[in-house]
Amino acid sequence: MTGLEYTLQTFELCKKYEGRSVVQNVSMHVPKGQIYGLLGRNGAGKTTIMKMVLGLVKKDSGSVTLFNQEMADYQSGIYARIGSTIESPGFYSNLTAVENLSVFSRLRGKVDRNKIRNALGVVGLPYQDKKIFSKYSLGMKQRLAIANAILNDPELLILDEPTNGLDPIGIAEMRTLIRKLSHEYGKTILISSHQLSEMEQMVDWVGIIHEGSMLEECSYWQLKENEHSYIRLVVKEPEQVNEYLKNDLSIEKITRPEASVIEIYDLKYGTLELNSRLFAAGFAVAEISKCQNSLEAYFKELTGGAGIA
Amino acid sequence: MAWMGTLIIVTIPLFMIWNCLIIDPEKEYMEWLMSLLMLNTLVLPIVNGFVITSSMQREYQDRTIRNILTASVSRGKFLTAKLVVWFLWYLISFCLFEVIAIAGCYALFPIEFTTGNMGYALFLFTQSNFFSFIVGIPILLICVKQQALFYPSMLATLGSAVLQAAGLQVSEELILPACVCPWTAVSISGIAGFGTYYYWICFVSIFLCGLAGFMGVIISFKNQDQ
Repeated sequence: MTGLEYTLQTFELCKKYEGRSVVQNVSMHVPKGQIYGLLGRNGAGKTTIMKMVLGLVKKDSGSVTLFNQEMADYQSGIYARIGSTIESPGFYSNLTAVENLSVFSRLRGKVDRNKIRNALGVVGLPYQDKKIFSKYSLGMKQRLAIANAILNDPELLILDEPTNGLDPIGIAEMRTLIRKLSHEYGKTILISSHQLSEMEQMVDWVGIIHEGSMLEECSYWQLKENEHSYIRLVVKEPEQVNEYLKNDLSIEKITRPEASVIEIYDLKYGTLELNSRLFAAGFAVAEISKCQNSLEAYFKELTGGAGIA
Repeated sequence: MAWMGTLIIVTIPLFMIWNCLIIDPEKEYMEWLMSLLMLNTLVLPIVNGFVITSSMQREYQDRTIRNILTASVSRGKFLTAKLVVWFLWYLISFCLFEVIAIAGCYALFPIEFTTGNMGYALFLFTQSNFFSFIVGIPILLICVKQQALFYPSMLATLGSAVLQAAGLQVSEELILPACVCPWTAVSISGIAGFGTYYYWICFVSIFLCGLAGFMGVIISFKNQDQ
C-alpha cells in the first residue's frame, strides 16, 4: 500500500477487556477518498477498533493517526472532521429527525437548516416530517444515523454495520448511498460488516479481522485474485487418474480433497475435452464440473474454518 | 421528567397550605414551618436524584451519548453541561417552592409574617436545599457508573433522603458524627445556627462530599469506555 495518501492509520492497536484481548496489534491503513471495508465475524473486534479511532474507547497501546496527525489525546478539531455511526442509531426517541439533527448540529457549533435539509435529502428522508424517531422503521433509523454522520460535511465517515437489520432492498439502497458518498462527494469511508456479500460490491480496500487480529489487508482486486476456477472430478480409480493427468496430460496443479475426488487448478483443458480424454483412456468418470473457489472459502482458509456469512 | 419533578416539588407547600386550611387550622407558625422543612428535606433529594438519574440513564439507554461525544464534545464539557442544567432546574424548582411557601405563610400566619421571620425561613430553606444539592452530586457518579441501569442511583437517592431527614432527629450525643456525615450534616447545619462550631464541621463535610463526588465523576467518565 505504498504511494497512497492515508486519511486514517492505526499502528499496533491493542485493547483488553478484563484481561481478555479483543484487539491485538491491529495496523490499518485507510486511503484517502476510498471505501475501506473492515470485515469480520460478530465479536471479531471491528466495533472496538472504530470506537478506539473515535476516542469512545481508550486504547491500551498502539497509536491512531488521523489526517496525518497522531491522536495522543482528545482533539475536538480533528473529531469535527469525522462523521460516524456506531452500532445501533442513537437519537432522542421523542424528537423528529429535524429536531434530532438540530440538537447534534448545535453541539457541533450552530444549527444550519440548509445542512440538515441537504443531509436528509442525501439519505432520502423527508425534511418536513412530523414523525418522531421512536416511530421510525429500522431502515429510516439507519438513514438518519448516516444523515447525522454527513451533517457537518466530514472528510472521513466511520460506519459500523450500517446495513444491520435492513431488508435486501434496503441493503442495496444503502450500498448505493455509500458508493455515492465516496464517488460523488469524495468522502473517505471506513465501513464494517460481517457480511461478505455486502462488501463485495462496494469497497476498494479490505481489512479482514478475526479474533481481534488483522489477518489480511489488501485491495479488493487483490482479494478477488484469490477466487480460482477449477475442475472437480469424481472418479472410480483416483490413483490411476491422478497419474494419467500428471504424466500423460502434463497437468501440474492437482489436489485430492477426498478419496475419490480430484480438483484440477491447471485449466489447460476444458471439461468437455478432459472428459473425452479420460473416457478414451478407459477411466470411468462419475462426475465432472467446473467450480469456483469463492472468497468465502478463502476466508475460511484464513480464519481457520470460521468463515464469514 | 423535569416538569414532573418541579410539579412534585411545588405540590409540597401547596399541600401544607391546604393541610393548614382544611385539616389542621389550629397549627402554629413554627410547627407548620418545621413540618414543611421536614417534607422538603425528604422529598426534594428524592425528586432531585430521580431527575438526574433519568437524564443520564436516557443518554446511555438511547445511545445518544455516543453521538454527543463523537460530535466532538469533550467529556468534561458534557458533564459540566449536565451539572449546570441539573442545578438550574433545581434552582428554579426550589425558588418556586419558596415563593409558594412564603405566600402561604403570608396567607396563613399574617401576624408572624415579619421580615425577621421570613428572612430566617428563606435562609433555612435556601441553605438546606443548596446543601442538599451538593451532597447529591455523588449520585451523578453512580449514574455514570451504572450507565443504562436505573436502580442503583435511585437506591442511593433514597438512602441520601432518609439520612437527610434523620439529621433532623439526631440526639445531642450523636451530633458530632452526624455533622461529619455529609447527608445528616445538611439538616444539622440548619438547626446548629450559622457560624457555630458544628455549623462549620457540617459545611466542610458537605463541600468535601460534593467535591469528591465531582472529581470522582469526572475521572470515572473520562476513563469510561462507551
